[in-house]
Amino acid sequence: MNQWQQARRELSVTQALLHLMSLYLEITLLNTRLSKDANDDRAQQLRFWFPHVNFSKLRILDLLRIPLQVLWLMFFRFQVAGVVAEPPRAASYQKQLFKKQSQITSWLSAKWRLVIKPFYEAKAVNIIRAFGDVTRYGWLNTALLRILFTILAALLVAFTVTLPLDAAGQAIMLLFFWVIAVWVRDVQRRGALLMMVVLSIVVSTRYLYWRVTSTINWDDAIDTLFSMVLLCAEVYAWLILVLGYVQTIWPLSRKVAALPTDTSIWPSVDIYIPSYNEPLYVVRPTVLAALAIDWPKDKLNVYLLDDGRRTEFAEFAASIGAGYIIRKDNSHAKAGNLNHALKVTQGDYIAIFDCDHIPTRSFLQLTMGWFAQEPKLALVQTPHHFFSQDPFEKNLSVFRSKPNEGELFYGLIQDGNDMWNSSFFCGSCAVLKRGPLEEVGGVATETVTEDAHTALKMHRLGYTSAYLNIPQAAGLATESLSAHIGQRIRWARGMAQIFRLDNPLFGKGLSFAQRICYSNAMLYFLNGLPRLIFILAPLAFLLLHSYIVFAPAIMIALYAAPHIVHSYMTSSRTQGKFRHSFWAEMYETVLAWYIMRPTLVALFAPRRGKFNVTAKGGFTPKAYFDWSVSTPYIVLVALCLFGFGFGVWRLITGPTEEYLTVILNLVWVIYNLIILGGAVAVAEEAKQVRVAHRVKVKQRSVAIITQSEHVYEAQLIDYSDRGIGLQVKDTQRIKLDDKIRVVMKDGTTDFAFNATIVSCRGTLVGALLQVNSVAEQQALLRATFSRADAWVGWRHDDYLDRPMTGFSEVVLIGLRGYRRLLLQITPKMEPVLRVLAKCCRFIRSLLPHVPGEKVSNV
Amino acid sequence: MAHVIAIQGIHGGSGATSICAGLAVALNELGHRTLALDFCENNHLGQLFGLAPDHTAGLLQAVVAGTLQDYLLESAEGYPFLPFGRLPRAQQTDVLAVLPTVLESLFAPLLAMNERIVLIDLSSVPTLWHSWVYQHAAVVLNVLQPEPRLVNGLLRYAEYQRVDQETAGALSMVLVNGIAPHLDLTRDSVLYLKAQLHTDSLVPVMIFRDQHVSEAFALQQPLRTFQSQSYAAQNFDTLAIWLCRTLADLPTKVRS
Repeated sequence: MNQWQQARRELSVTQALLHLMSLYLEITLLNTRLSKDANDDRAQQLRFWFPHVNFSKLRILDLLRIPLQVLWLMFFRFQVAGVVAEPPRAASYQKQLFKKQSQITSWLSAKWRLVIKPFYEAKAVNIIRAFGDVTRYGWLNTALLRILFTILAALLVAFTVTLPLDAAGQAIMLLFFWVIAVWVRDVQRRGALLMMVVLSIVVSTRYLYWRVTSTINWDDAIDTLFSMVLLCAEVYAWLILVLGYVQTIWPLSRKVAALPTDTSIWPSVDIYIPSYNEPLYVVRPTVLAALAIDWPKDKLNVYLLDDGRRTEFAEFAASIGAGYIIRKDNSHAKAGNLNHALKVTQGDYIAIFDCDHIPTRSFLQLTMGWFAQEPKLALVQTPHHFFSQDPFEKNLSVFRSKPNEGELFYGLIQDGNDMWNSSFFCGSCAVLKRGPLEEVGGVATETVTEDAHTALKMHRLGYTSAYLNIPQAAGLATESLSAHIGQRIRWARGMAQIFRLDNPLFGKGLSFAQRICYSNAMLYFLNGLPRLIFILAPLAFLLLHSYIVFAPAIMIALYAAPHIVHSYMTSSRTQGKFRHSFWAEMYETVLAWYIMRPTLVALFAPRRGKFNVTAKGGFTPKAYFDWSVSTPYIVLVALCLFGFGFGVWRLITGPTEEYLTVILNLVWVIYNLIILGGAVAVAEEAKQVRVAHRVKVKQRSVAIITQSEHVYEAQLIDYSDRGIGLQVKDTQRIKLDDKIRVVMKDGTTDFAFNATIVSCRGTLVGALLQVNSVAEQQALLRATFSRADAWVGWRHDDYLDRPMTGFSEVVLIGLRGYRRLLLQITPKMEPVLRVLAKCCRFIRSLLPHVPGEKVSNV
Repeated sequence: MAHVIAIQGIHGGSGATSICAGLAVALNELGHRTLALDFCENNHLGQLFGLAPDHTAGLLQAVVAGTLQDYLLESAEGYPFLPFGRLPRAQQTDVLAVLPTVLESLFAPLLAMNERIVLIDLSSVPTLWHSWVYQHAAVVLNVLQPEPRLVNGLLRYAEYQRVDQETAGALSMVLVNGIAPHLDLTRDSVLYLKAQLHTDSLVPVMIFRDQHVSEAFALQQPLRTFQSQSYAAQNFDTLAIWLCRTLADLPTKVRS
């Protein structure tokens, strides 16, 4: 009775009743002691197994949740490490019951994990190793045999590609290929990757062959037209797929080459920092850090190339001892600026940094070694690394949790290019040799992507290039989606221009592989039109009832599905660490509409168009939805939705033999809608209030000296060029507005910086640094942005991509995009959406949860 | 066999005694049974372990008595130490004269114990018992402050102490105490030191100048007891770890 009153004080009548009943049941059934100590223990235990049920406040539907969870635990529970192994302390009747049941399933899954899977994986490894072990049949390696084998392999592939099969035969053959691909998927050997690539190419080529030979609709002029348009897009996609495989099949992963120990024979280096309209606070750290690079002082000259001709820049350069170069006009923009500087300086080598790319102090020591090793080397490129969020990371809030957009290029593609001696100049964070650069007439001015074009010209003259995949400089990413699109338009246009004006497929001096790598880099940017075609293609059937793929739906599924599955699986294997599956679709879809026109214009009239400067270093005071950028996508979404509606109508009213075709097209439209949702989601610009970006760091301890000369340890949490975040152990000693000194390592010496405490939240302390002298500013840079290891560990090297996880990420982003879009159109929809979200959460709360899972809102 | 570490100032007031006490505490906290011995006539070490200044018993009395038995003390926290002690003037001169001769017999049982670390605080001014300590020490840490005095100190050290320590078979190293990175002079002094000394003879751990050290002294407490969060206390922890690592790498010292 006492308990009842106590329960009634907090709970409603039914809840109290349930609560007491459950207590009673626990006591009788589970036979637990009622001492306080045991009570806590048991609560924790139950809470562990039923993470979504709050036992101290039961709700009506928990009657459903508990049995569901019990059933699920009995039949599907996976082994939870460390918990199941524990000996059963309180002999609980219920627990023992499902323990026995689950033993069978856990035994099976353990068998699979520990015995079956490793066995087959080891088999795969052995086979691949046997193939790779060339020592035993080295005598086979003669030119004649190689040619014979190539011809044999080509014949075999041609046979596989052209073999006509009925539906069942096709299904069996592709199932066989698929099983092999899945089998070797996790084998971390190059042979496995080669096998997956070969399978993917064979399957995709077979698909394309089938498309060309037996699916073109010649009956109707309009259908034929659509049909051919789609086919062209597919041929393009196939070409990019195959070229991409070749490009990235064997990344070189070049290591650092040692410099001579005698520093007196190190060459002299000019550092160029071109600027046009960027504010001084963006340029200042770059110039200071460039001056602080570890290199003999008499052999290092830093030049600020100011096309804005601003007096404050001249004064700044003079005050810190950097050269300042201006010219009369701004012809040929950045390329012209660099070429002008090339004429007035004398260094043996030229390092180029965009004005916001802060180099680390070790930049030259790591990059220059290769020039001494390879006399024909003309270029060493390092990755462009960004410490601020790009629009995707910012607007989708995935900063540093997913590989970003540039990682595929700088992590894999350039490294793959390096294997074929065709890694190219990217405009910044690179060192060029003066001789070859002057030989090609300086930086190329014919196109708007002067960097890649310059590298192409040097390659044509027989010079080599190197790519060192270690971030040795970091800068600001483009700050908004529109700026990002503007930058990509320039790249796309420039690449298309080079393709027209100086086509890498023709002309002298390039190797076959170099031609492939360069043309892939250029053709890639033509993806705008094909992507739009893929988005609109299902509508041709759904809206216009045009059979653009003239074949039975079952055959389409049997040919297209393996093609898609294999290409995703293989891409996931080759580039999963650098780009998650399906994210590429989103990135490319966002750009598709915008790069379509410039690339087409550049293809037909390559000399038109001007250079636009990418804006950086700004901030977004409040979140907003970029309507002007997202208009094309909203139109596409509307079209797809319309098509989807039409499809449903066709499903209801249409003839039964069309069912499968309609469903196939509906699936395609849904997929397109998901990807478009991602594109829409990025258009909502998230808030960016700090002008100075904070760089987060881990495990870096610093000392703080108070005014009373007491010294304490603190952890550096983050830093920017003017402020730092610290975690202190004891909050009592640091007060707001305290003047402190922060001691950080500048190389091997300690350097103290004056700082004022501007915020205190618990153990987290924010401090504003007062760095005035040039020496202090340089010391701060060397302790933060230009530490040699500043950007180590930003990549997630251990991540194993799975296509399905990538897909679910993109689906969630797409859904979020639509929710935001709806809210933008009619804020009144918010309650409806909230109810929808609530429903989803409610259904999720009924479903079983993994034991020990953290569930909020219980 | 116990490991003997001697700590000696290169110049007066370098803070060798504070380092001896701080290091003894840190080593004890790491789980190494460490004993701090005061071999310096100033008789300061005891004060850092909470001993009242009027406590006169110590090494000198032990020499007279011929046993350490009643003179080894333990601080309130349980850190063992031996103060130097103080005797009336007339008596002290006699005892100091016999001190070097009885050291061997006095400390033989202690030094024979395994897995012990013995820290000895030596004065910067040479005494008659320095050579005995060098004979037994595995490592001698020569402490200096990053200030102009170090230039002369270093010259003297290179001429005398280092030669003596190395001939006696001890590893002779220089330890910097009192780093204050906000003062240009200390920063420049460290740069000078790095230019003058080989990296192998400079202890990579440096002790910061921290007001906590003086305050702990004033309160007659070990620094760790007074303020375990202080940076200097953490420097001592780091130094202790470095020392254990160095001792592990050193070949066992064969005594003559």
